[in-house]
Amino acid sequence: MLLNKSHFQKVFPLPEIPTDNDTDLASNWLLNHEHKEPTTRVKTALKNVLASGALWPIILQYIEQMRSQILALDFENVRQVERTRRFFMFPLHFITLEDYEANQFLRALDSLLRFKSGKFALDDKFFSESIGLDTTEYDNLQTEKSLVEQIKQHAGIWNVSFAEKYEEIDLSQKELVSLRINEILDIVKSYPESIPALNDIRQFLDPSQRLQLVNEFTKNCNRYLLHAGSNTDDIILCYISTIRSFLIVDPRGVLLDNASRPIRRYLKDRSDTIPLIVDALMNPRKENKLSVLADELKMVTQIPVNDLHLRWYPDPIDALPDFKKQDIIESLISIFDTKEVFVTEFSHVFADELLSLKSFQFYETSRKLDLLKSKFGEGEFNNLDVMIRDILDSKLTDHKAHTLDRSISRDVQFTILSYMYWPDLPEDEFQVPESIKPTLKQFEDQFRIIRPGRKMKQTKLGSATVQLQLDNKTLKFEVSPPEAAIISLFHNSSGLSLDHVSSSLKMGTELAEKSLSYWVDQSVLKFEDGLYHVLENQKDYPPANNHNKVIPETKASKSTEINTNYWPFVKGMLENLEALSAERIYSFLKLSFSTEKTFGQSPTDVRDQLNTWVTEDRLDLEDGQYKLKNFK
Amino acid sequence: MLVDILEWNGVATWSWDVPSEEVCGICRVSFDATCSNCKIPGDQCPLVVGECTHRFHMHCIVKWLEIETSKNLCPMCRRSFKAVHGEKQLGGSQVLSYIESFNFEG
Repeated sequence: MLLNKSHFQKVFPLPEIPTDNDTDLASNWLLNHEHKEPTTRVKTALKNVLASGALWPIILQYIEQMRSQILALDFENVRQVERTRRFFMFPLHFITLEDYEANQFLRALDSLLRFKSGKFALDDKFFSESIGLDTTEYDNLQTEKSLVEQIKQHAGIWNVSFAEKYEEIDLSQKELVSLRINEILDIVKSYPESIPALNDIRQFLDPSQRLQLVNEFTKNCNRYLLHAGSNTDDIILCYISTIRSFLIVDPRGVLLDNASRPIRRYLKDRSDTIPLIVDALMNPRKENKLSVLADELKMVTQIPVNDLHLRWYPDPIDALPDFKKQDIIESLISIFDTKEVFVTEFSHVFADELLSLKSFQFYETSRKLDLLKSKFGEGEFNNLDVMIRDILDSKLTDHKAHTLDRSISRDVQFTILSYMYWPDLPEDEFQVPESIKPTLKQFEDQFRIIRPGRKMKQTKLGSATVQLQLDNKTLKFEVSPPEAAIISLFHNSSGLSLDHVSSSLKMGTELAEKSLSYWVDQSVLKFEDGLYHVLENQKDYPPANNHNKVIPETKASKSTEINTNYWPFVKGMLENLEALSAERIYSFLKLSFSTEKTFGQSPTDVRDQLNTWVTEDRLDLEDGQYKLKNFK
Repeated sequence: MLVDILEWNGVATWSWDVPSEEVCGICRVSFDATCSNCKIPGDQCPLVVGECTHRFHMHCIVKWLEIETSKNLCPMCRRSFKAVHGEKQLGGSQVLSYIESFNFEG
């Protein structure tokens, strides 16, 4: 409701103005001065009225008029306010008022102006003060403005704490945090340089901004990180930084829990996540991007997993039902539903590592296993315990055998495995070279004495050093046992057929062919007219490259296995069911083959093979579903 | 060409000298793995063969013989269970004297 003249008059009745000539002149000018100086006559009139004491009622009239005029105005900027003030102050130059009267007039004027100009008078501190506005607010606004400027300039600078630099930061915390929220993904990525910025966020994060922080982070993650173009190790690295960063912002881990979910989900679907983590844990090399994991592993974990429930405290209020707070490695492990996948991967890596050992030096590997147990829990690694135990037992057996029968050559060693505990032990059989046979026999006899009731069976794993004496050269190779057995057949002979080789060594043709082609690649043998011949004259022997290690079971050979053995099954499956995802095909294959022998293929192998068939035009891939080509 | 094998680092597997498809009659697990209480196969979880030719994980048969109702009978053929000595003995030898003790009591 607008106050008008009558309202005021009810409360403050205006005094009567005496009517005479001077008073008329004076009030006429005062109420209509239009910023013009009074004439000499009016000046005299004013003086007379003042002397007669009748001026104040006129002033009250003036104030009343001023009130209604100002209330009707709409100021757009502070200049207008100033002008208005000057206008209404104008008559005071020609009237001498008592101090209290002047004050009353000014108070009335200023309060009206304050009332009308609240929203912008702050632009001008001096003027605001002059009309009696509280300028603390104004000062704060100014500081805040400059702080916001400063904050803007700190975009992308995360290695200094803004709060420590500017004490008045309290005023614009939200501004600072908003900026940091926009930058959050990059801040996380530049951990640990960005720790000061993260500390700022922790200090000033308003509860209302928590959700915003998480949302912005996950949005940016989905847009810039979690897509096919990112390397898995970069994503893992970012995940590690996310854990560390968000634990700074919110040490209770609730924000982390919410923020890391998309990354966790994504990593779970990446097939190379586990191999990369396992590799980083097992082979700490400087050039490995994920070498932090190995460092993390070395740090002692204080809380064994099983004791956690003894220190129970309720989860924070915004925690999701399956909220967990973990250290980095445990958190990476928990991405996956079971630890089994890791253990399987670990046993592969351990197997490779243990079998490539020379003279049973397994202590390093054993130490790694102890570290892993501290993260994964004691119970998960029974297989690996047995594997390490096998190496230890082999060492003891080897020592005993050589002590009991000193005629066994020191150059012959055997690692004897508990076959049920090692992953992917090949089943190929073959006969060891003639020159080794007597020693092997001796060793086996000793084994029966040392380990009563047990027998030994050779595998194609291991290594052998062979020396080849050719017409003009002596060559040394480190090769796999089947390769050594095959080249031994060429001792003083040449021109052997594949059939001859495979039957005299009782070796499968596939393995025999692969091993023969190794020697062809080394230019020791050549294949001509269906027979393998020794290249006695080594003129064209390629330099270097003669220190070959045991050839690992390569992907290629694995996939030929799927190719030949499983194609009919896959074809049958797709004929019946039309379209299937790689996962379904994998589980079908696993079901069909689990009874005959362990299905040694990983889902990735199967997917790779399926994709190969797609490129070979046997299959079509649509929306992740594989179909037979031209199948209607 | 002359071929010399300078070094040989063979990798072999071991298994109990029993028919490969045979499993422990009590826990139905391969002899080359362990009984349900053991972690490490081999000498720590040895086999015992009875005069009735039935074979078991030592821990499995001991547990069985400790039960009153077993009456020291072989769980497979219900003949009195006597562990075999000598040539065919499998695993650690102190085991057998322990098994013997049941036979004397029975």
